[in-house]
Amino acid sequence: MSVRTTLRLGSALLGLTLVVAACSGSTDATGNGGSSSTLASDNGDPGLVAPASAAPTFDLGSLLSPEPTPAGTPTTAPSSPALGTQASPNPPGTTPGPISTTKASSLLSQVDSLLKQVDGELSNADAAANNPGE
Amino acid sequence: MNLQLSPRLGRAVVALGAAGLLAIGSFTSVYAADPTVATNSTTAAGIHHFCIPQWAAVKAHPGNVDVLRAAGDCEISRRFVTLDGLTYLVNHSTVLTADHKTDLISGGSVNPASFVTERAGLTTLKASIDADTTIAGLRTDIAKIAPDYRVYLLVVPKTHVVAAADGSAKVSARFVPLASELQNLINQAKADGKDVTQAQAKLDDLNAKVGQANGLIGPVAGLVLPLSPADWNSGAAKPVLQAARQSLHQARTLLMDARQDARRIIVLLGS
Repeated sequence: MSVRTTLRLGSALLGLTLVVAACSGSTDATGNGGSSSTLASDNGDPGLVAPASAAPTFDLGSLLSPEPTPAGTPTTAPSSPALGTQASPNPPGTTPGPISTTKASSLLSQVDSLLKQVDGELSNADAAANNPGE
Repeated sequence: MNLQLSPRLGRAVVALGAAGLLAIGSFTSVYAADPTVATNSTTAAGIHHFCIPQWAAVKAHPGNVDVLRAAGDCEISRRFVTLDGLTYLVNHSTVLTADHKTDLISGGSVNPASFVTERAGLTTLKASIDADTTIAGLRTDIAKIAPDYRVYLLVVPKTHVVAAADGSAKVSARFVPLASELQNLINQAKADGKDVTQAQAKLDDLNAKVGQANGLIGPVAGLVLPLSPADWNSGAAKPVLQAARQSLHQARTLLMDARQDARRIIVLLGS
């Protein structure tokens, strides 16, 4: 019996440890809007990780709370720029907007539709020319 | 097992049946809405066997006036059917211009073989055939049905050639706002710092091809509409109709190339 109890306790502790470890990783992602590997890839070097996330904290209380506070998160705030990006975005008006080809595509589809009608008339004209009638 | 599967199978069969009916319904409605299928009586297959029984009877009873008259009436009737079919197609055409619709139907001073003129002449000829009392008289009148009207060799192809020419002109005209829009997009992309060399080259090619197509399409209706049955009989009409069809095929190829240019430009600018 005592061996079984010990085994159960050991399994429970192991499970708790795994849960805590998993939570620490997900909190990093939650606080940063992405995983630490995303940060590293933003930097262009997968091996580099932001210094703030190098040593993950183990605040069990904040991890188990329904809404972890920003203090419990090891990385920067969501609004902070990622590594390797500009600190401030381009001012409005300087970035070229996407070109909309919707109108051109619509006009082109009208051309397609008319071309089909022309094909029909040309086929009729060809058939009439090959008509053995009089 | 059977009790559990049967309802499932039943539902599946019902679902498949409903889907099939929907599919059949959609297909039949498409064909029913297509006037060229429902009412186009100008196709060769439906017409040139139309009077076979009457001509077989003439062969079986060579001296019978009534039998020969019936064959003549049949030949005229099937031309009426063809002219009615052409009139329907022209009236419902979305590509023919209003002027060309009038020219084809009533002719005016442009088309000597309008549907109205053809029908009037054939009506008069039918009255003459119906009044004939001799085999010789009937043979003379029946022999006029084809060469004096040339419904199948001239009127039918003329109608379709003019419609194809008007349709091609309509396609060409539709390229004008398209080319304008594409030029605007190219200018916008250029202002944004994009390399538009390829897109501009494609647009220049598009405009050139549409211009060439216009040169081919423009004269067609004017050359074809004045053709008369006498022009066919003299051998003048056939090469004109052939050249017209050839021009329209070339124009179509050019317009298809221009369409490809436009599509390429859209891809280039949209990427």
